[in-house]
Amino acid sequence: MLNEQEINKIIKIVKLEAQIILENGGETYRVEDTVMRICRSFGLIDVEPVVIPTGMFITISHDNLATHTIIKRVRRRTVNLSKIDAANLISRQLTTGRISLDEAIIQLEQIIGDKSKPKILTATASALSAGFFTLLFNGSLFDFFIAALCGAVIQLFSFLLQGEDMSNFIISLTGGIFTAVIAITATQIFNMGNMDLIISGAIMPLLPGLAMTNAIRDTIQGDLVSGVARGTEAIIVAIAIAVGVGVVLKTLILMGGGLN
Amino acid sequence: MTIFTNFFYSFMASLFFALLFNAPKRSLPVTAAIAGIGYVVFILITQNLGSKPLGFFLATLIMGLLCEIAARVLKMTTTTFVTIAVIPLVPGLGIYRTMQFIVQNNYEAAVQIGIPTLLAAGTIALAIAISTFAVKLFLHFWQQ
Repeated sequence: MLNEQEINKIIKIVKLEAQIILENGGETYRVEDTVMRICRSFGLIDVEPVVIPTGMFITISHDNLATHTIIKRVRRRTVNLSKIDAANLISRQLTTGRISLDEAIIQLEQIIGDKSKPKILTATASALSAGFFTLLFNGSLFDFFIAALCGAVIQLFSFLLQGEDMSNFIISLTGGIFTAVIAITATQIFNMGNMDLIISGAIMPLLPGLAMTNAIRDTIQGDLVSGVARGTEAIIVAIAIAVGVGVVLKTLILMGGGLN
Repeated sequence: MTIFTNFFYSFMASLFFALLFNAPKRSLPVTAAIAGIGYVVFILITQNLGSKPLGFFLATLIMGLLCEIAARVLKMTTTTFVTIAVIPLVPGLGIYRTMQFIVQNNYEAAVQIGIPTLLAAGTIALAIAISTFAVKLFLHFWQQ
């Protein structure tokens, strides 16, 4: 039989788990699933989690004890697959009884507090990813280096905006602008390389692949609200990138330069 | 480009893309290999059967199934694999070309490129969903 203290610990764990998974790019049904699993493993059968991309409502009832409800607003959403994986591991260990409630709380708080995302590594990854996409589109070695430059610049700029509310949209828009400006400038100055391949390679890491996939997965799973929300996010981000690139191309045309 | 260079480039592109999204180290080689295999499948189908939509669908379906298997073998979430692995197939070139035609006021060409691009994106997402539920269904009947 669970006492009030244990219930409170479980509620705290559930809240932290849900927050980590949702903030770092997990699907809403995964959050609900994790919450149910943890609660069931402690004999709490009467659990109702409702999770949407911007927040969650979880009610846990138990015989003889008060009903508990958690409402949590999630504002900051990024993609950090390592954190989802770590939270997943903790819930697995907890439900199979390999770690105690206290240990789980400590570990989950560590994951939330972990802000270290090595900047140089991330910028390099962004650069090389953009570069290899350009090569995949049949670009030359010159295109590879220019696309890598675009990828690095986008990532360095996104560090400046980290934590801002509108960052996702602004990064996509400015990412498109930076990419197009760098690609056009470089191909004009050196008079070589393929501007089209550089731009399309460099915008690949920005494209909302995760949001799009999650949108369809959520919709088919029956989470219609999440599906629509994620779908809108994906469309808006894709449009932001395209508009960023488009503005620069249009300026080039108006200034008298042609597109090949 | 040969099959090998296609595999290599999409392997490397997804590997660094995975690092960008801070994917767990253990998953990196597997995800990148799945991305490479999927892209090669896509190229082979497109070249031999001449149908891009079919290429997108079958390649993503195969990737989705491989990701489900990898997730269960390595005991990690499917999201970790699938979101990274399908990236080489996402039609970045198509989105760019659509925009390029729009700013040139060539709306006919923009629609001609834009609609297949949109459909490709939808096909990829749908194929992932189908693979996920195929595995779930299979496990459901297997356990009975």
